Amino acid sequence: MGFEFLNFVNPLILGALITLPLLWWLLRLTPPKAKRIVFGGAYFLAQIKSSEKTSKSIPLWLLILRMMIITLIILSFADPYFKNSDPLIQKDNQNEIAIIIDNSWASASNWNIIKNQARSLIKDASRENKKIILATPHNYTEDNLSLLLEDTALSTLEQFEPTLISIKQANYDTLLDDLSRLTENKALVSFYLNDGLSNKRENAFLETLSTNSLSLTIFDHNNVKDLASLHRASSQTSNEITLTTNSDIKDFTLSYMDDQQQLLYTQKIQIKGEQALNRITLDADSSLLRSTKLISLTEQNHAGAKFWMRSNQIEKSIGLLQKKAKEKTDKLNYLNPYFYIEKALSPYHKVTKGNLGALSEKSQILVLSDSTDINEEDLSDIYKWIENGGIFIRFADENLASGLHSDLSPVTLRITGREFDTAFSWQDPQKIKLYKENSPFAPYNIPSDILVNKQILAEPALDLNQRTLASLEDGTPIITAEQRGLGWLVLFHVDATPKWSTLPLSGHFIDQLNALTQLSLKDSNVSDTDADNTSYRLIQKLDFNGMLRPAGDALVSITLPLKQNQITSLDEPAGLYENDQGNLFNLNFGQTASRDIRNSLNLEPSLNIREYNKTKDFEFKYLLLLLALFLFLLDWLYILNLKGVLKMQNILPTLLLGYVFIAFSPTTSFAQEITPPNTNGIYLAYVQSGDPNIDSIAENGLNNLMKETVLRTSADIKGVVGVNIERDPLYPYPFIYWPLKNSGQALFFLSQKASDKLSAYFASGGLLLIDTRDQYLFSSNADDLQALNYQNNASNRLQTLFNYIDVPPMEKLPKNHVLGRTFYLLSSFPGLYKNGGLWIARQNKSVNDGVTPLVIGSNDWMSAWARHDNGSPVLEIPYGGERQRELSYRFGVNLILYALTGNYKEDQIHIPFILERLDN
Amino acid sequence: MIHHPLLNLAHSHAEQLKAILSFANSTASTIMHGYHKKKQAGMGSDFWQFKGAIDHTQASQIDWRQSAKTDTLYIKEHELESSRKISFALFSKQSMTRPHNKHSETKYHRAILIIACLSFLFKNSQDLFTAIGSDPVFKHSNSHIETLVSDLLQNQENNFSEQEFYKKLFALSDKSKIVFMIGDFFEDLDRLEKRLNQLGKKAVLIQTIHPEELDFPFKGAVEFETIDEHGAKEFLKTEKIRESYLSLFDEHQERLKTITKRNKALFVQHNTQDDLVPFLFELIERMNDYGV
Repeated sequence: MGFEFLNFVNPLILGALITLPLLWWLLRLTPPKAKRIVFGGAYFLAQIKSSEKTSKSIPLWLLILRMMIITLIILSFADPYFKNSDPLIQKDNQNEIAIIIDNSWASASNWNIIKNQARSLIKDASRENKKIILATPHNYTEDNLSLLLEDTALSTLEQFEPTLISIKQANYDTLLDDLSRLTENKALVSFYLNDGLSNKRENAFLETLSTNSLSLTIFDHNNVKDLASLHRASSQTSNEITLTTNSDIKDFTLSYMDDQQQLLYTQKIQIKGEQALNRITLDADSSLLRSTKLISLTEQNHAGAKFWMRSNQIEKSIGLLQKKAKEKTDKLNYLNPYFYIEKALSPYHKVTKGNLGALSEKSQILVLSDSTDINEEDLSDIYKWIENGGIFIRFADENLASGLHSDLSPVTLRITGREFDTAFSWQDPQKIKLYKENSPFAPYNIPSDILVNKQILAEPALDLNQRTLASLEDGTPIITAEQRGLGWLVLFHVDATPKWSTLPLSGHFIDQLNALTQLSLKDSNVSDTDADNTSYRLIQKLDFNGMLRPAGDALVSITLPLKQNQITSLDEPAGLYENDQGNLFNLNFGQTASRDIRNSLNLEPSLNIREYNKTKDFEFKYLLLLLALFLFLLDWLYILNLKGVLKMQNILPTLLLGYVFIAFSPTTSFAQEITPPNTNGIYLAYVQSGDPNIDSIAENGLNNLMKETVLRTSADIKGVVGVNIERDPLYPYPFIYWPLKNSGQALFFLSQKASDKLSAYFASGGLLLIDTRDQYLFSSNADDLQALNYQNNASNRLQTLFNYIDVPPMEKLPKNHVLGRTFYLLSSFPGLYKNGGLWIARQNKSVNDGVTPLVIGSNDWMSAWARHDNGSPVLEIPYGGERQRELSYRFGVNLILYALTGNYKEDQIHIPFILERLDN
Repeated sequence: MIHHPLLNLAHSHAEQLKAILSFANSTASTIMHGYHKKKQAGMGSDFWQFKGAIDHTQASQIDWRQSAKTDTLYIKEHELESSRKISFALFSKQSMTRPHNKHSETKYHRAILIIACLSFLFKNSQDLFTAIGSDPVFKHSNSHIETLVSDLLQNQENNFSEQEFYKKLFALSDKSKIVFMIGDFFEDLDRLEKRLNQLGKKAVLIQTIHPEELDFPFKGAVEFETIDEHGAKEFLKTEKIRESYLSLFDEHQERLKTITKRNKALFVQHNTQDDLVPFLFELIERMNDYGV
């Protein structure tokens, strides 16, 4: 039959269809209300007997329409649906079923599929009047099971979501205990909706569940093996990351996103071999990497595939040592070293300015760039502060070069600065050549664009090499550091302004400073500062898709540093943490995900495993209601029409327009609909004369001219169109050819609209060529006579045209006019005839760059340009032969380029080339 | 400023009046040339008396034939042509005054326009006129067009009974030479004929008709609202009764024409949708033929 799968959730409601005949009768008795009209002729109507009793009742079609509306509403309340698969839940004696949803982090990728399956199971169970037990093992807490009806079960399901803990931490045992207690050890029909990953514990749980159940059906994905995660091992530098996968897929894409979730960069990765852990080098350059807040695997949609940057890097409190009084007067930012230092550090750390007393208490790092900002007495405090674990970064300056506080340095300094590239120096500025392997800069590529003009040299010493973090091409140190007690003393042998080197201007300066801020963490021998050991409070929590969400009110905190390979848990969830000093720490989920992926096993094959249904049951309810609503709308429109509020002739076009609007949605072809024709490129146009012979030759001629122009020049012309000067817009065409129909007759009867259009066309830079095509009337070669003839004739015939349009006075084409050299160097402009002169409108230089808007001639160019498809000319040239035809094409090409480029070739810069060409 | 409803009504009347008068004046001057009344008011052609010339008498006024017979100069005086008295009868019944829809002009309004145009025309030929329909009825005059039209405009709100109206008409008809009856004449034609007969004057019947009355373009369910004594009538399929309506309407029109002919009256029909100027030209031509 085909109706085998058509089911109704509430079949009893169909009984309401019995009332339809009653409704039929009722509806017939209530006719639609008529519109009221004042009518003088009612005098005659009084004499007409209203014999049509049926006309008082509803029209049949309206009756049927209304019956359909009611039928549709009844049917929709009966909730019909097509089953897309065999029912999983059979009618049997069992009154309960258990649906257990594996809501681990790995289920996030397919969460909708899992939820849809659960929803479908709940509905099936409800149809068979069974109660439902719903449970999620990953965040299961004791005594949390109950028997649910459909509505409660569906709303409970909506609250479930994947849990960001390791799959090892699932609470299977408690769940099993509670399940058997609830059902009093009765065997159940059970369903398990697996996430795609499994381990030993899960397999054991499923086996127990299978034993305890009447039947256990396990849904699993066929794309189980597609999971991959990102994390950074402690041994990895800031431009490395580890990708863990058990997937057969070898190609991944990393997306780099900024704090606004805007995509900055993508990196394609190809995994080689079978290894699970893959070290990936982030190939984005360092400035991009600094702006990156999140790296994610595009194909994966779970928390493990998202890596929030700087997870190893803790935000530090940095103090810039500066005397207060000086700060106020220092207005010249670009000469102020702190300007550069602050720019480099403030996006990543908490930077404050002040004197030593104020800063030493709360800062983990102190920066000094001007030796006068500290006093001699401060030195002992600074040494003590460093011994206690502080990082002191000092930049050289003129005062240091003259020996001020030169002891505050990791190396002994030679107290004279060295300058390159000065009047007294013959050495070029030096580049950075080397980063020591043990230096924090080691992960970075050595920049080649940093030039050092001046540095403070170190006295040679045995330990100089050991204390050098970076050195120049000549081996002299540029950054040195010494570990003192628990802290570090670092010296840049250049200052922090662009005076001594270009380093402060380079993006690498930011990398260097940030790398130095992590010095204390990198050295595992040195215990972390007090600040790092403080408790960090969760401020943003990772959701199951790996995005940061507000953490809520619950106080969750972790203590840093984390244990080696620590995984996240319900107590220590992944997210963004902050300590009392306002320092931030990112705890990613990738480490945990990586572990789960590596340890995952297949499900026991003995279990009853099937795939998720990707297709849902087809439910009619809303479709029927929608249809009923539509029919109701029709009914309503009809009533409005009957009352005279709306006119049917107004409704129909509106409905039709609406249909057209929907059918041709903007994404498909709307843009094309509104584009006026022939504006998607350059088109040549000719004015249609109405004479098919002339029009076909004009079209053919211009087509050939277009082909020649495209072939010979770089002009990209799309095609040729005929225009009706009265009707069509002229503005899309840079060049219009107007062949006149009957020579010798004044045939210009332009409407006001057309003449306005032509005047506007001229004013806006168009070029019109009027071809009178009557040179055959003047066969004499005598130039003057010909000109006279032509002038007389032209003035007679064109006078009427000029009465209509606004055009400057005409003149004979001057000898050196640019029209003779826009592409070819031409001295004559022949068409089918050659003796006809060329007349142009004398355009003022200030208007359209002096480009003439109108050219008039009589040489019948279109006849020379026209060719048959096989290339043979349409019309023979009477005297000049093929050479003349070639010249006519050249004239055409010049004319088109004149229309497109204007007086460009008049520029003096072209003169030498033109002269050279003329010489040849 | 608080507007009293009556004041608003007055404003609206004033506006309408202004529009009607200016339109009628210009229309009348347009069609003036077509109006060839045989006898103008003023000096007639019939001989009345010879009168001795006095000083300052112009030479052209002297009847030389008579003067030649004697030594005295005579002036020939002709009989003075009396002005004609014309009455317009406009009955403000509901079928005339209620608009068919918001935008359509009422037949009553159109009738006033026609009266105004004709008034200007008659004023020019120094005829005297008045209108039955205004309340109270003015004396025949030709200097009160403005008041007359204004009064007619206001009068559309009043509901004269038909009897009362005709009573006034007959009372005035003795003094009138010509009576213009303007209306739709959707009424008992026997009664109309009786009244025409009773009138016994030259009568011009101008029938103003709304295009919908001619065409009956309605479709679907329509309730035709109460107009006059005919009562409301509802039809669900009005298109079905179109034929019957049109045949009744045509029959009525034919009878109307016959009746007017029989009573030697002039019958002219005017569709409110049509231009007034061509209609007036036609009317004047017919009036000339009719001898009015």
